[in-house]
Amino acid sequence: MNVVLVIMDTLRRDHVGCYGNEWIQTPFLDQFGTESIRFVDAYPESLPTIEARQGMHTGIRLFPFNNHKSIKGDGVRWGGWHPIDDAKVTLSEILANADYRTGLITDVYHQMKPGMNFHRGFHQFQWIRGQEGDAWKSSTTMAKRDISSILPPTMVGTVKERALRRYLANVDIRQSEEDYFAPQVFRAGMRFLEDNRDDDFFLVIDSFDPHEPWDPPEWYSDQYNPGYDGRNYIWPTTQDSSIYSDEEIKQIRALYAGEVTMTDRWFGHFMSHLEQLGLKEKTLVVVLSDHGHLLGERGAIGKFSPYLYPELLDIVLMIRRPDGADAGKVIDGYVYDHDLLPTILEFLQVDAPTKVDGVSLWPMVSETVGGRDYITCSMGSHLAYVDREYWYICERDGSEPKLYPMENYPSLDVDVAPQNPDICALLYRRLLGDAGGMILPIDEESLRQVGPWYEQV
Amino acid sequence: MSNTAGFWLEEEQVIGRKRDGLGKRPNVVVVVLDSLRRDHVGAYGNDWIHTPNIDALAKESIRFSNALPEALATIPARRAIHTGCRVFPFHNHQSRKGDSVRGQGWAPIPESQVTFAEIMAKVGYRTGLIIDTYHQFKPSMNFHRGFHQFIWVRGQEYDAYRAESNMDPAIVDRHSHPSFDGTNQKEKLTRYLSNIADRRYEEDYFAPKVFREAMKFVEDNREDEFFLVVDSFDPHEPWDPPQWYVDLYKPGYGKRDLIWPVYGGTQVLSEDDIQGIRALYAGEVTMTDRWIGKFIAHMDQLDLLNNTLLVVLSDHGHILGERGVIGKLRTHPYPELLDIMLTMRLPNACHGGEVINSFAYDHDVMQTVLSALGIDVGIKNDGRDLLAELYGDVSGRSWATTAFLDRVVYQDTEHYYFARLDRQYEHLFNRNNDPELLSNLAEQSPDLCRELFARILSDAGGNIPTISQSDLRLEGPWFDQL
Repeated sequence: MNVVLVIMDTLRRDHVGCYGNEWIQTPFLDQFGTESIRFVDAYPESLPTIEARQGMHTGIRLFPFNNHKSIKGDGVRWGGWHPIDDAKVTLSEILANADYRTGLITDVYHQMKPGMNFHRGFHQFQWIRGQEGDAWKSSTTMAKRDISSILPPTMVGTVKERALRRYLANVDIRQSEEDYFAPQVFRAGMRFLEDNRDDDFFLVIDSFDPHEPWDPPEWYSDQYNPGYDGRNYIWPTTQDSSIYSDEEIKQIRALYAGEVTMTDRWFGHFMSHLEQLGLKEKTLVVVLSDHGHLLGERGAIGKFSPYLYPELLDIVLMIRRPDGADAGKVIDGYVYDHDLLPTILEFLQVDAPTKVDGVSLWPMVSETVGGRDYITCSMGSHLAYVDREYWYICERDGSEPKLYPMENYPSLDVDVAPQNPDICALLYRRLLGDAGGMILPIDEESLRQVGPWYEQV
Repeated sequence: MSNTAGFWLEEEQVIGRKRDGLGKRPNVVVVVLDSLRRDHVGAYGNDWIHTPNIDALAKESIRFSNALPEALATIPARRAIHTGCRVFPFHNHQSRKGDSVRGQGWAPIPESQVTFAEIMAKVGYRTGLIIDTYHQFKPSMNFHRGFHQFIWVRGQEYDAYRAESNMDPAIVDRHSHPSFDGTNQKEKLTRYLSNIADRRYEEDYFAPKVFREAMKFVEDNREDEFFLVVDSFDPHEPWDPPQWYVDLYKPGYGKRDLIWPVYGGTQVLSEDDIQGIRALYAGEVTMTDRWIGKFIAHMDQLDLLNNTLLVVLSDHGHILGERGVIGKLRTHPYPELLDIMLTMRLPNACHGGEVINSFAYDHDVMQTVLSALGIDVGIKNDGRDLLAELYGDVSGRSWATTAFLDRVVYQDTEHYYFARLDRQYEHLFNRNNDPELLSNLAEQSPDLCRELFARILSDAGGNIPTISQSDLRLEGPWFDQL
């Protein structure tokens, strides 16, 4: 039996057809959805990129990032943004010990930075270089290029401009669609299948797409905003989306949608290859995203810790059983990304060597248990709590609470926190409970480093 | 340091970013060649191996005739090169998960230390790292700290790169030795042969790929002041250069033979096997020399060479049948294993051809370069400015200590001594009477042994922490990547 775990970074749940989107083309994910068990209330236990992957790889909650320590050589500083603790055991280590052939294919370049160790336990790891600010090609070659048509005016002269020039240097050599990132990642996935088809394997395909920069071939973005001839802000992060005109925001969404459709297309090629090689009926396939992205909602484009709203937190999670059993089943209980490890292990009948925080999802699938009553999660300086009644967001110490009745989901445009201090206090206590009783402030010192040393961009 | 060498700039021009109109600071290129024996380089006296490019470079460089690593092997030596700090005596050793190599000092760079690249980036250099030394790609490794660009050339040795499933066992057998049976050597060989299965031309071999990337780096960054580290695993085994290099030394060998030297006692090998292994190594050295030569020529073509401080060093040697063994064996820390090459070509080849005979360490390279460029960012390290003695006001080191796992070596111009860290297995040689280091005088000279070990202790700062086997292992369960 094989397992393939496909992670798609920044794929919004509401931007996938089988989750109800009506205007984005995701035919291959939609088809996969009809063959799968589809979880409609899945959440990351923490985010963004690195935090979410910790939960997926270890089954252990990273939340609440107490005693956080950043490491040198990475310009990204968030609570929980650091390598996997050596005391933890990873899913790939467990499966390698159980004689699975393990492989990791990823272009999520944060995992290639100094000290990172997400390739622990993999017999083969393949890094596709060049995403976003990856320290790969020389940005000096792009120092003089006029990038005003893609660089938001607010980023001129900032570290973001340098990063964008780096990105342009990284992608300067690509020529055809197969050279784009999602295609490269899924092509490498197909090669892995060919090479290891006679083994029992565990393959993780961790695709940074549809993460920004959003610059799919134009045949993908044109279908969503035909005739547009203005600026293409391929990396438009801002907490004030009024810096863009309505037309520009429409185009930004079209670029994202195009990137989603391209990623969907290559996921489809991969699934078709799995079938061609006769592996589909021997392989458990899991597809999930790590988090979403604000696309102009609430005046923001990007991932910012005060915006722990559905656009950012709702994730995709679908599991296709080898025999297609439970196809099309919809599970509406609350589940986490870190539930995957026990779920996969139970399916393979491999014991976890150490205790984990996640729970197997199979009892939910067989309807012997419901889901959790609520979920908690965190990013940076903020916490979120979600249940059937309320969506609650606050700072780590419980201050600046926002409380939204779920009847307004997903817009959550009515904040009733001022009238309900008792409910806010109760929900914060639940957050504290999930955090083991303590949520320490993130020490600014710990996010910096000893000494004024250098950050890669 | 005074400006006797005549190439560095006034201090205020050097610190911080370059300013318009003041000219560029010299570029710095550090080339690390893994497993290159000092005595297998023409410039160091070898008369049968072809290393014309390194020899020519040495004529334009300051050559250190007694350079040594402060600790072996690959990863400890890289730590010393990248931080200027001694790794011996392995304080706070902690093995990390995801790497099957376990040994004293085999760990990432400590977070408390500052790296060469971080300093160079800090003072405005464009920094780049090009490596195929795959140990540095493993989980938790961080030797790319401080680099604006890093290029990993994948596939060396048993890098977790390609699937082995398609490898024909007959090809593996062709390069196996009966002593591989019952070990994981065949697995390793299978992995390696899978990693290289799609290479075809010389330019697809590892040293060529690494130096080709280096050429691209200098093209891209030629207008900047750059700091480039080119870390070539070649001529580390497996030794399988294109046949035309092998044919220089043992025509026809290699196609079906021992590309992976059999570690341990040579009694299991025929004389022909040993000659073959040496020929393969020599061929790999010549191939590596050839490509470093192309790189230097390219630097020259781009008009960069004479504004560059170019350091070439190896990390350690390799025993090739001397003393009845082959390999890097802790039990045999002899000069074949310890002696390294070290040359520094200053801009405009200043002091070209001069030789410095005092002991020089790998961890001195960083401080020497920083001093030459007049860079001082207030970060302490253990290295010395090796060029200081060129100007007559400082004398160099008169002894050196080198650690390899649980063994430590002391040497000066007269004595060569080694022992286990607990002073068991002592060996003492008199270099004047016994330059081949054949007769062990340890038993008849206990006082001298004690005195020399005291010097080792003083280099260790007074005490050597005990590292048990369980410190080197890890709490399971976890998985070893081959």
